[in-house]
Amino acid sequence: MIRETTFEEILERYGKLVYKTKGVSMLPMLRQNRDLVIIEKPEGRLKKYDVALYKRGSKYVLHRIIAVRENDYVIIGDNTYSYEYGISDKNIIGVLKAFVRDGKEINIENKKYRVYVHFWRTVYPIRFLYKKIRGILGKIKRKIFKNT
Amino acid sequence: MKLKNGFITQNIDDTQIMVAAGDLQFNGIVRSNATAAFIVNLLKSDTTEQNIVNALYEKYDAPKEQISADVKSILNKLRTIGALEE
Repeated sequence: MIRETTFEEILERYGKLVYKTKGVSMLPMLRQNRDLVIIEKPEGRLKKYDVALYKRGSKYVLHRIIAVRENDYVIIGDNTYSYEYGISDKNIIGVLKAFVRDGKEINIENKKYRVYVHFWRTVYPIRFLYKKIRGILGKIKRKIFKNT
Repeated sequence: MKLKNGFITQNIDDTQIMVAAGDLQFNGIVRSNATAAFIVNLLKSDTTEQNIVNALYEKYDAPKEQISADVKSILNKLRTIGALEE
């Protein structure tokens, strides 16, 4: 017997899942097809800065919780700029425990990792502004080139 | 035929879990029981459908027709997820 299974089933059966990552939304921490994530089944509610694996429709998403609210979480990718609301514990399948980067396993308790998370969240307004300015400059540049 | 490079297997309990690493297209997970895992393991080096059937026939006490059909179905499954290099 051979069949395709789901992340939920693997986590339910074995309590742990090791998988590659897809997409750029968790950059600079997780690089697509290069880094591995180690996910475990959550016990109880998640905490601020936990990285949650959850289902949005039929898609699996791995993003960071930045606020824990009574009925849901506020979630955002390290490389995205819009907050997601309305994801609650029933949508959450797993939580990141560690990741493997360049062959080195980094646990979420790791000090350097904690520093990265706090730094990256603190500079969010600067990152956001930088992205906006770059967008506006790009628009101006396109306009100038169009007129010449 | 052969299992494509980049398909990684791992055994947990009596189940073999297979995932595609690198930039291969398949983004799911495959779960194999002992027999299917035996076939997947044979496919880690270049082989033929006939060789797989023969190897299973030696290992298990089952009619060859049954084994042939099982091997076919497992190979087809592997084809649909793009795990086979023909």
